[in-house]
Amino acid sequence: MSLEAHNDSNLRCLVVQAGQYRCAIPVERVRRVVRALRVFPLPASRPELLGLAEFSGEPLAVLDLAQLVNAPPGAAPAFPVTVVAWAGPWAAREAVGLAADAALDVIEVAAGSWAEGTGGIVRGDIAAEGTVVRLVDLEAIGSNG
Amino acid sequence: MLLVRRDKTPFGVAARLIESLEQRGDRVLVRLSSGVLSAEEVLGFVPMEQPVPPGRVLRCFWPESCHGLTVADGLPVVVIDPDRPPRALVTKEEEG
Repeated sequence: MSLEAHNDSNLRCLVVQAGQYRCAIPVERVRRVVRALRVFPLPASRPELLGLAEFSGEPLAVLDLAQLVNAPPGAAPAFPVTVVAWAGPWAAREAVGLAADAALDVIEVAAGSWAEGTGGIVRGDIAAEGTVVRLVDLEAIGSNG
Repeated sequence: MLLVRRDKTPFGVAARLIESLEQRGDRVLVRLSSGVLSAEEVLGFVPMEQPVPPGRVLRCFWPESCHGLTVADGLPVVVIDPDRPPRALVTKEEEG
């Protein structure tokens, strides 16, 4: 489902830590949150791609969420996670892993309350929990080279 | 399917494509009719599961070709396209 579908309705989001940023991922895009999967790097890949992992018996491409949103590096995570999520247009969605430093919370984002983002997969910024949270648009992942 | 490891990652080669295997120093050379691949370790032979094509996300972030992806022995595996193997595996070495 695209974010435009939520212009008139609230959006529930999973908040994760990615480097020094907090990112909000619409829960309808989240398939599961698991302890960080073991990732096997692919030679000559772009830096955002950490590699491949096995998830539920299937191969899964795992991306570095911090790199995707251009977050400055944070402290070494104590309990890193992989968010298994749906990327791409909803009608042609595919599962990807998003490596993050921690899963923090689930928040409700008021319709249309996000300010214009920085482009790429950051759709906008939300003021939540006393800080700025980047709203991640997973529809944009894989839509450009 | 032959499983080999290169740069920590498992790659698979359909057994019917393999002409020979040779240990040379700390490398394993896998000779195909289309060329020679270099790996660090043979992980074994496993049944060939039907690979799934690489998705749009993987193609966006990894500029290499492959026959597909699968899982073997709990490991994610890149199944090599013998005509367009990942450049990291291609070697100019010939069998001695």
